[in-house]
Amino acid sequence: MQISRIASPLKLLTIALKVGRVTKKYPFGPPLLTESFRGAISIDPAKCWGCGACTLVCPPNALTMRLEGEKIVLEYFKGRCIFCGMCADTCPANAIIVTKEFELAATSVEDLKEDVIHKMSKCAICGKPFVATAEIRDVMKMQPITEEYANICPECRKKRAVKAFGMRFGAST
Amino acid sequence: MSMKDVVKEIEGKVVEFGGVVETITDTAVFVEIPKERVKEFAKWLYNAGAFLKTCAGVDERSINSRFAVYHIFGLDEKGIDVVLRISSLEGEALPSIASEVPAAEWCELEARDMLGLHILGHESKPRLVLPQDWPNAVYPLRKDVPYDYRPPSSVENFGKELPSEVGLPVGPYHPILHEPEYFELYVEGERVVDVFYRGFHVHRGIEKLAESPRFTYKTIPFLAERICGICGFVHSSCYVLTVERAAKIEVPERAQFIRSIVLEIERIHSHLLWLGVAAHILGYDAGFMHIWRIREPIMVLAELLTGSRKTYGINIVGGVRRDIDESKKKKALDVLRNVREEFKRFVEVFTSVPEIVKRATGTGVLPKDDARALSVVGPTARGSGLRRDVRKDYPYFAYRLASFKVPVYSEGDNLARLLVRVDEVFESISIVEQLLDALPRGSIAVESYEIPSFRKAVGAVEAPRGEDVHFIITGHGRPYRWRVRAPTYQNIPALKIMLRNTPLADAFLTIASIDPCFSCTDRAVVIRDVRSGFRRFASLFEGRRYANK
Amino acid sequence: MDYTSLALITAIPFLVAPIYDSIERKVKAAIQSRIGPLGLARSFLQSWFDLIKLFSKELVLTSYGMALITILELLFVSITVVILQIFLITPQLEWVIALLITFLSISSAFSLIRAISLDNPFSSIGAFREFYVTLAVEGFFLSSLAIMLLVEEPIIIKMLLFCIAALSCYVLSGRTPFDIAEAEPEIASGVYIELSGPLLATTSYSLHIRRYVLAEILSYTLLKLIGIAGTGFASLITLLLTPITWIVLGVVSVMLGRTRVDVGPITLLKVMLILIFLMFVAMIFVVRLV
Ligand code: SF4
Ligand code: SF4
Repeated sequence: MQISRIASPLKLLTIALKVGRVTKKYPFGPPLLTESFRGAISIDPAKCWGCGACTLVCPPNALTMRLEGEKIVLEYFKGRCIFCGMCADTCPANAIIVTKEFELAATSVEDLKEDVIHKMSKCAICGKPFVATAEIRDVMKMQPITEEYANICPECRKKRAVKAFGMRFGAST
Repeated sequence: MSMKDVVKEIEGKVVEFGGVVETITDTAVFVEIPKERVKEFAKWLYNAGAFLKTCAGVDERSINSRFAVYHIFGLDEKGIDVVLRISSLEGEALPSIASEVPAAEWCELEARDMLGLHILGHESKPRLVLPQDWPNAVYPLRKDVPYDYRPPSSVENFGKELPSEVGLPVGPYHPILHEPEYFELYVEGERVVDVFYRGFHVHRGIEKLAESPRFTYKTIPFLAERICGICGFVHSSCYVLTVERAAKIEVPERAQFIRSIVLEIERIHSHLLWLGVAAHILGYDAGFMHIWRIREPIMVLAELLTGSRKTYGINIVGGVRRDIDESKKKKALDVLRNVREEFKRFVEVFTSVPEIVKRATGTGVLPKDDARALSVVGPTARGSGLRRDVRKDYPYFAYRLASFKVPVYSEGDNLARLLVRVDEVFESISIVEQLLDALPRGSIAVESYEIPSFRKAVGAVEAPRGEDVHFIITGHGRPYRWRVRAPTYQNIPALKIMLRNTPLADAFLTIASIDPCFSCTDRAVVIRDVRSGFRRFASLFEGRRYANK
Repeated sequence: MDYTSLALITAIPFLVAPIYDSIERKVKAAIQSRIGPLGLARSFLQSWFDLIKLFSKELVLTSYGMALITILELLFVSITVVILQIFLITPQLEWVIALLITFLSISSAFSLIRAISLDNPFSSIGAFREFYVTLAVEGFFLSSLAIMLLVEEPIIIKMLLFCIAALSCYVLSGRTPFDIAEAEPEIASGVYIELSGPLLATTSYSLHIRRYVLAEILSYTLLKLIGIAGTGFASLITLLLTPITWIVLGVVSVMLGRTRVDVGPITLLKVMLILIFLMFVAMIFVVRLV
């Protein structure tokens, strides 16, 4: 009993012999990922509408939107991304897929940023750019609304509605 | 005594003390006590067997123009929380209950630091949480301080009180756990005679951040998961549990099961990690390597089930985001069987290495009385003979449906805490197996929910390090106040007792034996001070009846 | 024996000590289920690469005393190993044995000098720990070695002497459980905390050579125990046995944890005293029998 207890640390050798070497010669050899692994996301610029829904759910603000003149830019900053995949779950256009990419080191911050640039449509009434062109295009495919309606910015839409409402009740405009 | 009787008794006592019962839910009783008599009431509760979980200061001026302190007690045997509210107008004094319930000291000091409350008896004590160069009349958790406020650093405030003698410094980075904290050990020969602690170097302001417009109920779980680098899922689970309790959201059973399964997987990997680190501290590097080798399949399993090795990101209010299908279930059972076998074989070797047994036995002793007075949690409590486990005492998620033992050792030394963790690994493996087998069908998240404002709830989840407590007052779109009490917060004060008379060589094992997680403990503000402040902490611990043994 | 072969033999330890260390690391890695240093060259030369890398780093001097002690330490272990090699060639010369033992004691005295030359709390603790450990075995080691090399005694006593020598060799080689002086997790590498770059390289090179000395002495005493020491052939065997002894010591250390200063040295002292006591008993028996 006592002897076997004293000799017990020696069993390490048998364990080691049985297990062999488990460390891998990374980065050589096959990737060590499972099928569910979530890595960096990739945004398909052809599918993206530029609606900005993803920027609202992204917990660390890795996805942001900014206006640059008449363009709307969706920026993905990998340095902040926590690879949660919330954006992919939310995107109405299914433009985002979660890849298995995880070796993301870069020598400059700029290399960690990706931009999706959208042209903005101008409002048919006031002429202000208000929404990404792609969004109008795709929303119109899905919803039975006329181009005439979709091409107007919410501001003007409101004004127009008020006007129509007023006219119905005979207000003089 | 049934739950109803207990609630009745509490109600009776509250009325006796001139207070009112606000709300009663399945898991908690919320009461309001006049502040003059809160001490007596706290004493009564404490003597009735309640542990102090934490307290939370809240700036409620926008609701009722008062500041409130919520003392959260837990009646472990009955599985019910008692939340005591006391309140005052701005500038009015509030009583401290630390003289009756020693464990309240830290959280009262924190409320004082963060909200500028005037808590009687704490006036002369040094800052606990805020750094030394923090401006005087700025209290970060008050609602009128913006969440991104950064005070100008004033270097002059440093170094005014540099200690005349310096003990053996441990930190500001822990030599093995690589986390920021500062211990100063005073030694005679190689025996520790005294110790000072200065923490809160990595306050990240998470509680404040969650109140800001940057976050919503939906995104906070991901923030919560980042409170801890090892047991993050515990925090996100505890957050969603608390929100679901506050909003009375019925979570599908399948989601409850998945949460419990993932929580237990996290516990397995956390305990294995700790055991490996303990082996490394004791110079047994082969143990470190082999335990981490055994742990690796668990990490891969977590990735398979959730999509990530760590910070799983699958918790949302109302359910989970990833399902466990049949093929994953089969793989999981395989992995668990192997891990159990390998671990069993290795533990036999591990616990027979003479140096490990010799050095862990009889060092870092925490007697049961002190453990009770400080309301310590987790393996630290269970190693000192306290049978405390949230999974049993306040069953949540699917734990009611699993059968498992709560390992308890009475020695209170490092070996006891080590063995508690070893036993828990086996228990957790069996829990995951049971739950996987019984996984019910159904959806994994509710379709929609609504969260009304100004509901209160307390949630507790058993983290690998002990009980993790969240307290929430709901607000519009995000919590009005979200208070997090990580397990290490409750355990650090016990180190003072554990380190006395411990050989210097084992001091590091002792510090590690509570499995400290300093980043969890520190949540609130950026702190720059690493040089000073600690010396004055003598007064923080000294003169307390539990420290003078 | 001509001068070239003499030079060659004395040069061996300086070249192979880091190589043996690399092999030890590879073997340790295997026991820990790791690959260890990658590739054939690294399997044998990793410690050399490490030394070269450290030597190429900038020199940071915290105190001149430190540097002096570090260099002197290397100097004295080197002299010790040279004398050891000469002894291997000419085991009959008693003055070589005397010299060897003298220098062995001088080189280990440096660990004691370190204790008083450092100002850092961690390194003082480390140095004092080293002090205790050395104190517990050094005397027994040197005397048992001297008796073994100088006197012919009956096998049973030889065996006990060998036990003492083997245990001391293990302890003095600074492996777990007796590496308390440099415990990284406890006292942040203790005696090494103020060393970096070339100074650290010098110190670890001294350690390699010290380990070589101890491994070779152990191999030699083993041959002496079997009774085949003293010939040219035996010297060759000693040289070949040294790496094996080295690695065996390394393998033992993998399976143990680090001891504590109030436990380790006292246990050692007890074991030593028991061995000495047994030796006396054996001697009385032998005298009776004769
Ligand atoms: S379409 Fe998808 S990717 Fe593009 S902005 Fe909207 S949510 Fe984001
Ligand atoms: S994966 Fe998560 S963190 Fe990354 S961009 Fe999408 S939502 Fe943001």
